[in-house]
Amino acid sequence: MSLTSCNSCMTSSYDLQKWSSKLIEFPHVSTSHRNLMLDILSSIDTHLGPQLLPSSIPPDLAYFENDSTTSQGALDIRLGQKDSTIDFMVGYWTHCEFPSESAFLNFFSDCESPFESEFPSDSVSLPSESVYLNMTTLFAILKPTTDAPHLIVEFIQYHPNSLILIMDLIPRKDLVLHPEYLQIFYEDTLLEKHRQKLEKLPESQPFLSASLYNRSHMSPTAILVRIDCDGDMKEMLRDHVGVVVKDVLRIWLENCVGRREIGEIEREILVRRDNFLKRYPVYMDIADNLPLLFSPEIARRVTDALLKVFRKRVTPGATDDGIAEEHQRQMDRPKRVRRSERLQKQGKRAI
Amino acid sequence: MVSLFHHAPHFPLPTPPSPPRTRSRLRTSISCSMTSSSNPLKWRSKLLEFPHLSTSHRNLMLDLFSSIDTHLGSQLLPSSIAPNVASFENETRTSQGSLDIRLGQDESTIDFMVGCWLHCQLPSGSSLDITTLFAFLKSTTDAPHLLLEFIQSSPNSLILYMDLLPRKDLVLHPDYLQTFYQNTLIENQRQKLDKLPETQPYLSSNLYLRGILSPTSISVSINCENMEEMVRDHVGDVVKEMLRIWLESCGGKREIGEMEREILVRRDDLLKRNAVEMDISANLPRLFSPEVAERVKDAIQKVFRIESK
Repeated sequence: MSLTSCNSCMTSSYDLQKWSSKLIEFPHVSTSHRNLMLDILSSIDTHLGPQLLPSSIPPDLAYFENDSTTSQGALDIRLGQKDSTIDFMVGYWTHCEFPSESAFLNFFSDCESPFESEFPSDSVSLPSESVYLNMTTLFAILKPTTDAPHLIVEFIQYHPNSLILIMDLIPRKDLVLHPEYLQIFYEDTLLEKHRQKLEKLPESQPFLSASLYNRSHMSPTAILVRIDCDGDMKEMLRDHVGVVVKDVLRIWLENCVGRREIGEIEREILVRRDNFLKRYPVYMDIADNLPLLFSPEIARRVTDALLKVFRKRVTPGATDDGIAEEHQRQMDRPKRVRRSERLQKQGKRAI
Repeated sequence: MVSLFHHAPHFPLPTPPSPPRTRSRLRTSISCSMTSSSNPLKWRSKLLEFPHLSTSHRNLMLDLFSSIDTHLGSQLLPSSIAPNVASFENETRTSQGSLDIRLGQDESTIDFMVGCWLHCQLPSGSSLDITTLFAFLKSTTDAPHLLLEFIQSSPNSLILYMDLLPRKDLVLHPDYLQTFYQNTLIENQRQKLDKLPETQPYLSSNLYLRGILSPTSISVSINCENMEEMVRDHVGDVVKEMLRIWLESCGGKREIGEMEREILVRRDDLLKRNAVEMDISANLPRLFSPEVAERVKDAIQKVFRIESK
């Protein structure tokens, strides 16, 4: 109870009513992390104003949990106005508690998440009580009326002293074929300077997604780091991570939201490319991992909501059949043999 | 070659002793002893001398060129490089280099292969050694090009780039990613080096160069006491395996549609122009006389078919 009232004290200093109230609670992360998220959402509101329509997420998607409440999540989807170059923005957080270290490690080895192979098993000593995983994500997808980069920010935390940060302006064009695009959005904006600020910290190390496809869609200035510190995560967030995240967000807001001239053929390629981006790194990531943390019913509900907003913009007039078809396509996709299954077959324990 | 542009030489160390060139020490490596008497490899002997590299590094290079010759055989025409491009130096002999270019036969999917080494004695006393192997394919295939480069700025400090350079936009072509990067298990090789405590990721300061690399590219700086052992026991295996993967997966013809070929050619042109021009034009004149730099640049540009501006 006191936690809730504390949260509302904090959020009242920002006017964030256009976002889902469940989202902006961010109940499971540290105060400094929550403040950073609220800062981010506030900047977005300030800069985009009426361009981003207020949240209209239904209650059963705004917040969801599994039966034992060991997994909780919140989702918000805000659509861009008709004239805005913004298609939509998605914010979500998930909090999952695992009963034991081995259950936690099993999850990592099973999930098709970006951080699968980066789990630092030996290097970070896990607390012996239950372990947890917090994910906090924000991404913005732009319409094909612009070819400016999409935005992604994601925090992954499983220990008070360890934080993974993924932040990028995701290119909409092949950078090898379009050096001028690289120049406009990545060189002239001095993004590299901000990436280097984090790279230089002794507490940070680079982090590579296990998925080659995920790796391939990131830009050359993508921030992909794991921060390990000795109990001063609060300072780290406030003085380093927070500063960089807000600067990069500002660069995106200032450079990527305006209209751009897009030729007919270019638009065709743009739409095709965006479909791939939406499907693989974004949708599949969520679709594959939610069922591991929540009930199949919740997972389906959430992925349906995302699919609706992805497809609506892609194929106007798409019916619900499109969604069923998409689910079928996902079912038919060759499944990676989960590591725990593979080990079981070999007669070994998973951990 | 590719990296000259962005690499800053390190200055803090005293002059390292240059590795002895006595062939008697190389008894264990057959390919080395062969080169002392005859040159069965069809590459220029000046190139294969690699006079400034450590023993294990030289052996590795010879192994690589030997694999290439074995696998590609007559697909590669003999070298046609002019002698004064095969070997060049500045007046004070503090900078030396060797370049060899072999063109692919008409039917081969290989356009050309470049082997190159550069040695530069810096005023501080330390030296810089760059060793490059680069294979460029024709537009009759969209298989990846091959890039390998070592940059050694001190006995204990080595930067290694190795990659199968994608010819297509991987976001738009996940099947291409699957064929050349997932099915080949090339990521395992990258991870072998990544896991070593002596390596750390190394990012080019040139964003375009960063952008041409694949998701499985090796781009590391290696710092260790015993570089000889590192190259012999770890780096060598990975580099040879990646070369083998390239030779086996990227040699065949592929079906290329008309429109695809147009994009392929445009992309390759940009790759050549931005990677090569930026690199060579900027740096050769720094290490060599304008006349030598011009000569070498011309030879390269001719084969890359880049118009001089």
